Amino acid sequence: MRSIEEIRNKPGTCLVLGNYRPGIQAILDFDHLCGKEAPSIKAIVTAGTKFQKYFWGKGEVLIPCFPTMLAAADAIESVEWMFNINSGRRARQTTIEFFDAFPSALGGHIFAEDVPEKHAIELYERYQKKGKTLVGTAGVGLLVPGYLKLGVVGGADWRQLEKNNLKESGSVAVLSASGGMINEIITMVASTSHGISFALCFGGDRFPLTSPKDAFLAAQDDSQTKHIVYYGELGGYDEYELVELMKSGAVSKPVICYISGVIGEAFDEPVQFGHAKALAGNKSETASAKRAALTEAGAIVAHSMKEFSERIAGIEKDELKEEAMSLDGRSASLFTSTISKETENGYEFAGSSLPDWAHEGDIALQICSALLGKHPQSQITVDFIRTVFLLSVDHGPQVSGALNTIVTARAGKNLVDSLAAGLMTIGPRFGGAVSGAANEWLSGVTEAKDPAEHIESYAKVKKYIAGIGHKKYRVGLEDPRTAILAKFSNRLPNHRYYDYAKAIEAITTTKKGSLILNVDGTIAALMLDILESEEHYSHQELKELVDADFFNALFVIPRIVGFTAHYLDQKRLDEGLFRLPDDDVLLG
Amino acid sequence: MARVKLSEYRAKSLLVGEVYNGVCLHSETLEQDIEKLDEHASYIIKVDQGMKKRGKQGLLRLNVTAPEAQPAVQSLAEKGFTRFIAEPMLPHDDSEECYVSFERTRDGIKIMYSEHGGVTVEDKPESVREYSIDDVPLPKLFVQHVTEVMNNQHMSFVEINPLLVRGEECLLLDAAVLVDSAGEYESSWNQNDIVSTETLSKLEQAIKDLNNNSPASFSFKLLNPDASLWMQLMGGGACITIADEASNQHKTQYVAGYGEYSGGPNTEEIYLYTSRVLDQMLESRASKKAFIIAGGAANFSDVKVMFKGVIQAMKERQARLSSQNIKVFVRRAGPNETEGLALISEYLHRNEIFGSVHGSETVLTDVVSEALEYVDA
Repeated sequence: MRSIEEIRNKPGTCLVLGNYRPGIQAILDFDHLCGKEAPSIKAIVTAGTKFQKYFWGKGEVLIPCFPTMLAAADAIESVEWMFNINSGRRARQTTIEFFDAFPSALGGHIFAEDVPEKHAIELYERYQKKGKTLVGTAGVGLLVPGYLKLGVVGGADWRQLEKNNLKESGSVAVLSASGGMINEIITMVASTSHGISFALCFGGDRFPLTSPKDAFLAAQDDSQTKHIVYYGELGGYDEYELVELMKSGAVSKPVICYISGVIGEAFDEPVQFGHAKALAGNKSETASAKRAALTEAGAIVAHSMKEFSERIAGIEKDELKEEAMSLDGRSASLFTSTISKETENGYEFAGSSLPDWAHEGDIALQICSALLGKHPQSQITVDFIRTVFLLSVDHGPQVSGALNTIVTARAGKNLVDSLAAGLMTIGPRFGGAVSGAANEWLSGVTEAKDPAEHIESYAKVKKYIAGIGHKKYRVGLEDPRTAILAKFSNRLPNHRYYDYAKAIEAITTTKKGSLILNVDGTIAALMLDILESEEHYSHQELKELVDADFFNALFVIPRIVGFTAHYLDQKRLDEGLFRLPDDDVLLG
Repeated sequence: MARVKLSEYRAKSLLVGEVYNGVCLHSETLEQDIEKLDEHASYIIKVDQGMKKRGKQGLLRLNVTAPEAQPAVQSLAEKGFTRFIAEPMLPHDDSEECYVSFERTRDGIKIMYSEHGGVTVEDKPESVREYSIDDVPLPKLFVQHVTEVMNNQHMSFVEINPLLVRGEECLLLDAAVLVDSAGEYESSWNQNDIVSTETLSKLEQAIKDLNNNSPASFSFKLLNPDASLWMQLMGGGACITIADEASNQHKTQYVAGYGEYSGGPNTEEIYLYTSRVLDQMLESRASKKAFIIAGGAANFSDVKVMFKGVIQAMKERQARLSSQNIKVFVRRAGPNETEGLALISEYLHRNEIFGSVHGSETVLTDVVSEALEYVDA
């Protein structure tokens, strides 16, 4: 395994596999109590959510979540540790995935209790033997005060962490098979003015990945460690390896230990205790035999918990800084917003203060930043959105949305009601085709669909392709708006979505001259190209924008201006209530 | 999460494969099972519940024909057994018998072999020596096959004694197999194939049933039904440490048994568990009795939830708890510790069965010393 000294010299970054709120929160609380500037947990691999909110000190922090290891590896350059909280069945596979994705990681902790022996041995062969440090299976992990908390070791609540002096190194290494007992012992150590140098829990399984022997050697090797406190149980032969280490002098630091399970000797048949390994099949596996062997090897073997605690209390005291920190009174927020906030300097919107926006003087840039949730990287993005807005502001009073705004205004309603009536009209048949078109081009390109087959699949069910077709314009009669938009493709290094849309158009126009790539379809294709090549959006991010209806926003925002103009126009003209002439309605 | 015993019938079905000609006999389906026996063959019938040394204990019937099977099984069932195995008698000479075992270790499969088998090997333990897969003097194909089955079926330990080797053919007379219970989901065996040598008391069976029907885990092993110290313990390592305390003080004879639960049981389950243990405790003929509820500092289990279940069970038996002068001693820590301990403390005081109540500030075994002092006084 890695030396403890080496662990102290690293930032201790960690990826969590699976979801376990209290365990993750405890690690973040440890980081904060130790004075780390940022959480050690870089991300969580869990499905169904993009971020999870945790406390960071008294405030909160968002931890990114990824549905798969590959997605996590795409987003994060490197991590040092894995905290694997998948079930016993999933532990082997997920651990392999982790090291495949992060081959230079140092190691990790596997929390599951019911990992098959065969899998544990395989992981041991694959990783532990090759220099990684894997702690478990089962148990509560590894803790190096001030640097690393990998698991529930040391406590799950900030009050326990605070009480246990985990901010700085002491002189006592605490090594234990049991997760509950390691925390009891850490408390014993801390409550008698000692600090721990590190704490490691092997777990109660038959083949711990880091064995007691490995941990003893690490303690011997660690310059901070002056004393070793060990808790073991009946079952297995690990203690005899420790006896060998002490007898040969490979471990020379003083050892205080307690071996539990003498109660097992009262039963006729061997009893299986809570941990998988805790069964004494023969005499040398009993607690009494191990106690005797360790005593002979020179360890101080306590014969009761009381004696154990007194022995620990008797260790020379550590000098520790008394610096209490409280996280009392924190409470979780109800929702998260990253768009705007009130600061000391007034309101901040989309990354800049409102006065700065005013100073900048570009509403297209402001809206673009707000829609993307971040400042755009490329001027092309801003220019494109500005052009889209200028071209989409209004397409005449006859269209459904404008008409509804006008009818509502003439019914005597106010601005907001009339505007709402117009906006509520936007949907699959009116104005809402940009998102639909974006979906077509994105799926067409990523699934490498043949344009002809794509069209055929629609023709079969007699459906229109979003973004294709116009009432007025046709081949030979170009829509001047699409002509302007199309020029943007010249400014892009790559425009595969636009190319795909044009390939579709090339086929559909041979069937019917009016089946051209329309404004909606052009906006969708070029916006995808710009986000991909200029703003470096991944496929997943583009898919999320499609699902969130982002592309329709490019229509809705300018059209609010158009509808408002129609409303004000009607108020100026004041023609009174509108009623359809009888001739215009067929009464069937 | 542990190594458990597989029935000999299932073990051999897996190791020998389709040609295995043993028949599984179960008390409940005995008539149908016996129909599977060959009328012209002669069988050996054995108890199949993981017992060793069945010959010495009289758990075998030799040279049984199909019509004789019913009474033969009956005579074994009278000893309290329910699972049996019938195999055609295989005439052989004792000198043909040898011994082999395979055990999964961190460094691979460890093979122990002796050219002596059956009961002879027990007299010559020094003849059993460790071999590697490559140098054990057994047919290669057989050794490969066994290790393959071990890997596919999550077997941790396979002992074949006696084994008969006739040329390339290996015949398994008796086989004892331990499987890794965590590997069940990838294996061909299931819970029904797991056997236990012990006969369970009513309490132990009830707790086992509770365990089988809950995501949390529960256990209880009765040691002495008339003892004075009754314990309900939580948390893998803490449980043993607490139970040890009486033994550390050389007072194991006071301990009624060993019971533990973990995995965050709900109030209802804790109520059921506590009820069973209390009922058994009330039957104990010890003159002075103490009930210990103790565990380490829980990481996630809610202490308050737990004591609600405990109190519910006590309430229903309060009159008898009081009349038997039972005192209750508590040590528990973890989430909602203050509220939970206040709850139980108030209940115990009000009903005058208060022994002591401690939280994380006290060494976890003090509570046992206090209970021992009470029953000893």
